[in-house]
Amino acid sequence: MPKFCRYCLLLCFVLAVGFVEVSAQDKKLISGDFRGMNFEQFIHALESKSNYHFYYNISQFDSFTVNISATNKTLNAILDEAFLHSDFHYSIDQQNNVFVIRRFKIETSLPTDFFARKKLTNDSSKNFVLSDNSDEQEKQNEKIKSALENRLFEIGVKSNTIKPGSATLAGYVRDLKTGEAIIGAAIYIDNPPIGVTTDQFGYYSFTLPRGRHSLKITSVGMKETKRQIILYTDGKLNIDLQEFVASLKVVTVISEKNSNVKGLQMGVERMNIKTIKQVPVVFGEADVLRAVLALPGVTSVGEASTGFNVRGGSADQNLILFNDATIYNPSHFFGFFSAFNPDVVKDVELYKSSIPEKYGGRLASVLDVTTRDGNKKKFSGAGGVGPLTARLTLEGPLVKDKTTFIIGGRTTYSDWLLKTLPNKDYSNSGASFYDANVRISHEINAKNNLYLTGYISNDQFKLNNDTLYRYRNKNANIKWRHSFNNKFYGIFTAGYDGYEYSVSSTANPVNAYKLAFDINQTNARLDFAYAASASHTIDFGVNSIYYQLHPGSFTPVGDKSLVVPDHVQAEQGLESAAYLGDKWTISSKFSLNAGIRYSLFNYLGAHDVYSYVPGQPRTENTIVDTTSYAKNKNIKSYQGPEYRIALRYSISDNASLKLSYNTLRQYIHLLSNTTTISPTDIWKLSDPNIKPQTGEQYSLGYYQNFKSNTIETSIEVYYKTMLNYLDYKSGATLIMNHHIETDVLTTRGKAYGVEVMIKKLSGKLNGWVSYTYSRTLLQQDDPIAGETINKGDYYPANFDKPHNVNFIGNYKINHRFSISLNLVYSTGRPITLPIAIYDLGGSQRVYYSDRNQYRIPDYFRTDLSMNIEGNHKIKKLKHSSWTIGVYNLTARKNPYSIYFTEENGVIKGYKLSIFGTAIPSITYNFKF
Amino acid sequence: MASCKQLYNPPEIRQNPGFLVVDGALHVGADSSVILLSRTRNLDSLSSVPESQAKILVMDQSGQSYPLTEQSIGRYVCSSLNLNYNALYQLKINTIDGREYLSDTFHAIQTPPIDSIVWRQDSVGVSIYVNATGTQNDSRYYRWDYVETWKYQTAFQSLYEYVNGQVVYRAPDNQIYFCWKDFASTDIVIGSTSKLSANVLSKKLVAVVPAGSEKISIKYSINLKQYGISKEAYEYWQNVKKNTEQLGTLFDAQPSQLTGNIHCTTNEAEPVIGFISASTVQQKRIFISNKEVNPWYYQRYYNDCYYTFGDRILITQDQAEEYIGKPGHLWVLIAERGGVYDIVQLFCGDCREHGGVNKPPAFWQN
Repeated sequence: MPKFCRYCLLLCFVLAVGFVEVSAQDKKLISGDFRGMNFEQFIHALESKSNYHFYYNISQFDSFTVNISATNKTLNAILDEAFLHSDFHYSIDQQNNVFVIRRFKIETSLPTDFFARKKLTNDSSKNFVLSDNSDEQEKQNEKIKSALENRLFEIGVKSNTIKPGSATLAGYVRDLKTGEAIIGAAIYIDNPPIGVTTDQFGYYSFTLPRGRHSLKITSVGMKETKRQIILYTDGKLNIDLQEFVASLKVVTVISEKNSNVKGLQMGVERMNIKTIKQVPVVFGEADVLRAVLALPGVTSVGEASTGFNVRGGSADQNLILFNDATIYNPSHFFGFFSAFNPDVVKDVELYKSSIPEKYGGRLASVLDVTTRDGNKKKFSGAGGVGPLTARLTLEGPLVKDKTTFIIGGRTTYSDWLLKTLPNKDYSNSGASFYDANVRISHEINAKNNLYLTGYISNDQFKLNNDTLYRYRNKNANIKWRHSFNNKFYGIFTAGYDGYEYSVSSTANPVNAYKLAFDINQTNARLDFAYAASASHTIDFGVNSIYYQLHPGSFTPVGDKSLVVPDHVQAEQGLESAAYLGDKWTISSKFSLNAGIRYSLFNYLGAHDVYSYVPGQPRTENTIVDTTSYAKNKNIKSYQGPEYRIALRYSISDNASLKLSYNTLRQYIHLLSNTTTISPTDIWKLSDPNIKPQTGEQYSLGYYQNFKSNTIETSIEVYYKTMLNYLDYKSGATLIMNHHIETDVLTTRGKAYGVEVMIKKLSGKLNGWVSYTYSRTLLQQDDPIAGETINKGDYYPANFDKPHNVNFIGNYKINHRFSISLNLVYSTGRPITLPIAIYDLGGSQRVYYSDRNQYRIPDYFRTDLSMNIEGNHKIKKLKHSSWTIGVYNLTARKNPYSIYFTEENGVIKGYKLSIFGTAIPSITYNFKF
Repeated sequence: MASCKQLYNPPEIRQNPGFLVVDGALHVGADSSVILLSRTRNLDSLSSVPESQAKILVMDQSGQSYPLTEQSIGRYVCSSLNLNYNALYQLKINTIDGREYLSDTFHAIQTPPIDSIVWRQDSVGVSIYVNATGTQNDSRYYRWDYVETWKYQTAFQSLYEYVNGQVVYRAPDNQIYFCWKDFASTDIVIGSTSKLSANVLSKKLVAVVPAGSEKISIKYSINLKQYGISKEAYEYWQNVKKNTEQLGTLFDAQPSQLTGNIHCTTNEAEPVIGFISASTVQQKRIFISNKEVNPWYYQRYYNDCYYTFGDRILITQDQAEEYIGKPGHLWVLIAERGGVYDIVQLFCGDCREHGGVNKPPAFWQN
């Protein structure tokens, strides 16, 4: 039997080898928590749990930390995950030897044609696959991607039979390169057709039927990917997406697939910083607000105005959130720049019709600007130098994969521009601004994350060396996110937001003064999201804002000043709300988002309140009583429910119909008697004499996508009413007024319109074109006002511009060169024109028509910009790009205002343009 | 920021409502009170539309009244009004179309005296400021108007005259080398001390003479009149100012309707333009001569006279009648020697051609 034995042995050996190989690579499962281990500890742990032997050069791994844990996973899976973002490669041979090496991959077996080839044995380098240049890197990434896409992920506690019912899969979607959370990524399956999107942390919670699925994950600007899963029970799956770099040879189609059609939200616009950076701008600085102005339904009074108007709302009816901090003045430098540093902004969401129930306190819209988290993987920076501004941003890990920071700053050197102006009024003037952001994100553990955000912006300008204007935003907040389980998480946020301005003049010591205003709010909120089942996602929470306003102080400056200190009494208020909302997928065709928010406002002491003769115009002469209230005493409460309802009906895979109804309440008002919002306008809380503003909006939209969802089209109509919107009596005094209620009037408003948009967000040519027809009409209906505007008839609001067309197009000529074009057309805004002249006080004067009965000429502007990138070697020390642009290419003198003024006793009409010429700019941007 | 303004003529608007405009103020004591009545007119209409043959009365509460009489068309004057500071008055206007207008009641206000008028020169020009001190009881609101007067010259001094074919020396009171011009303020100048602890007006800017202006080419004078006004009047003028003067900035106030203190009793809905108030007048005059301001780069209006060929020519005696003798002649004789006449264009030799008068006003100090 020796022969037999030999064969037997050989067979045994073969079998054994076969068995070992099978068990090593497929069967032998390893469990353990390896987080925080260095490489050696990790290897020892693996060796102790298996019969593998590792071979490596420790000097290559001295800075490597493992951040994974495994439950019943194969060694391949563990190593794949551990080395996912590194350039380490491993090979396992048939003897359970594991070779780990940097940059190269060891082939553990000879090529099948090895013996067929000759003279190869000496060339040892052929045994390595070089993966150093970028093409190879790209291929490598592709490999990882396809490896991940084809691998089957087993989620939850494995069982032999899959139980019926649903389970919840949760996790984060992140950028492979930077580890940054991806907001708004869509995760969906085709059968049944359900999906979710990631929240502001890149987190998703997806309840779906147990069993095998192919998850599809898409997000704007990222490569589309998929994951094969078997869902046994609730479990976690983190997904990394790769940035999409448009290639000339392969045009990969990307889009926020179907989210326009399938999402429940309507009237929401999302733009990431890439899109924002494509919008050509004045002075070469990417500008969040200018990009927002290119969206349908958003207008502004003029080029130099602070703020914007959404669907007929005034500028103070927008809630502007910057990482959940309320920004009261989002502009720099008379409104020419927005206060957001483009290098730290990640994306922007504008809600115009169905406003999520968690937001409240403003009537028209919520603009949610989110900054990036710092790069989790490595230290990096970005910056730019333009004609007026310079900026620098630094970011990186403080503790790798745990704690990151991002810090950014911007400043201006715009004085030279003012000096070049022909108008002498500006030649002695100076203006400057800066802003700074900081954000620290810390992952305490898998269930707890902490975020700290700080922001400050400061502006000052001096006209004619005399009066100094200054304004400043200050914000800080802390956010703690806790996941209770896969389905349920909560966020606690606490913060402070402040805005202040001051005007001072010291030219004449006798009159030297300082006029100051500030608003401070301390806020706290608790928000919860609960993915109750496959068809219900519930949001609920409470929040509270404590306001303290100093509506004005007028104080002397210096010893010689005779100015009597005057302080308008401070105002206090508490705005609280609780909300509950449910996203309910009723059937594959119908889904409903029903939310309710109940808000309560308390106007608090200490304050003196005037009461007036009932039924008579409020004037100083009709004050009958003054009541003094003690500190923190409730003076007046306003409260009411707000409804947020949105309904979607899918007509087909590519088309849907949505309906929404919203009501909103606003307890804080901006007092502004100028046509555009000026930095020195003040805010006022609702009080016993000034009621909160309320509004409701109905909207209806139809959405259809074409060409495999690469072209999105939408049409939305809306009708909106507003109550208790403030207007002002003729010659109202708003500054240092101790009884502002005698100078304001309440008006009602209605707004309606149609917004049509066609959008192409992928391919070499991308962009959108939109047309908006909208009207905003106001009517002064205060029965005891004592005077009426336009005899109590409806009149157009200052920002009523019926026709608006926006075109934004970007064409990528090649990897390094792209061109963007921006076209804007709108009807001229309404103005009040003089209809007659008279002589008074030694001069001709004009008599004005009813308010806003005429319009200034139409507005049209063309902007062009070119982006030139340096070469695309990934391993370059520094990436740089140039942005060359021309704002107002046709040099059209678009009127900002038309006014009539007396000069030497004669009336003259003038048309004022702000950018009456083409403005070229060149900006250098860099990244390292 | 390259802001630019262009002249703009709006689309033709012809909606002239023809409202009554009451322009003027009542003055206590010997200063005459003048009220100009007119009607609003179309935007493109150049001349004003005075309201003639109206009856204007100042009435007190006891029924006594003082009339203003129409001195010239639309100009109603009362040479002296003895109003009592403690009494309440009303203005009543009856127009020829049968409508009656009545003002709210008002007090006559005692105006604090002007302490001084001071000026300062900077790159903009000469800024003129007023200082005044009132008592705590005086009105805290002020309004000013002023008349500027200045002396200027022309290019060539004409020492001779051609009268009836004879060359004679020009009499001093007939000189045409120096002239005087005046200009009444057109801006609304108001001020307030309501935010100060004392009723002290300190360096309130009232007028600016732009750098290089002809006004201080030789000597300049300003006569400032100060009026105490009520808070309501102050607010009214502030509004007029906002509506018609302080425009063209980035943050313009919205034009607003003006509600004065005069109402139409015949038709309550009819707006009336103007605000009537009564006060004493305080005034003060200062002079600023060219020597006090330095340097004053005055661009002479007659500069071309020295360089333009043909503005100054020599003629013979025979041509004299033709050039400088006939009525409506366009030339001025400046010198004569041996039958050759040295003549210049009127513009270069007669300062009156530039709009002034060749005799100094009574108050003028050389």
